[in-house]
Amino acid sequence: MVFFKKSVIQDERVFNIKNKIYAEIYMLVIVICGISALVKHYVYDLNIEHMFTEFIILIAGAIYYMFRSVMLGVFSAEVELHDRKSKRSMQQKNLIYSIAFGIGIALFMGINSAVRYAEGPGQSMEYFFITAFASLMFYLPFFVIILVVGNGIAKRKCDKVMSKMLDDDEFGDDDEKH
Amino acid sequence: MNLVMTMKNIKLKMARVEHDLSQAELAERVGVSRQTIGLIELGKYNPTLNLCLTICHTLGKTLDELFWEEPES
Repeated sequence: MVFFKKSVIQDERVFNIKNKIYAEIYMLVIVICGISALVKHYVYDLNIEHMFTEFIILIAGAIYYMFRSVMLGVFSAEVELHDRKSKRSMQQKNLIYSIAFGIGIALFMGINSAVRYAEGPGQSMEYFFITAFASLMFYLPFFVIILVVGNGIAKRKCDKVMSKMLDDDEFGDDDEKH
Repeated sequence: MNLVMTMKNIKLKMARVEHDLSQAELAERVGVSRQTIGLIELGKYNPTLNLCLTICHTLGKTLDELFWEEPES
């Protein structure tokens, strides 16, 4: 009986708009977390341990997105689309960003140390170079590992997931023309 | 029009082969990833009408020719 057959078609307009709203809610949560961390630091003069919840929310969200996009095979597609449009590959960009972040934080730490703790220009220079060098040694590898190596591993894993999904093709087609 | 695909889209694959295109080449022309074309051909992803139209325009086919499926009785 056709009249009693339940429709399997869902209203994709409603579904898509709901997903868009969820994405906006996520952005709202990120902004509120950022504002909360800044207010705690600058208004209430609280230390970093008081911002633990905000950091957990921000980091957990990023890790969850990364994990899901790898396991659902979206990460490789994102890299492919990016590399097709951009002059520099995503991997090259990640390397540039990690070096820039590393140098940026090292400079910030160096200047902060020289301004806050040093007495006189000689000691300022000394503190600046020591702190900046130590920070560079720590943060540069950290960002290279997180951004370059992490993305490389995620890409390889995602490629495997994707090829498993596409393996089902009984015609054996992956990138072949026939 | 029934655009919900549950089976392999052999018509799309045939049209692509007719144009001597790989999945990657078709994907580049359409502006999507190779995986998306692969999943559409396998019937594992339902493209939007916009994407269907872009694929049809790229391959010079109509929606009927590439995506029509007879309703299940």
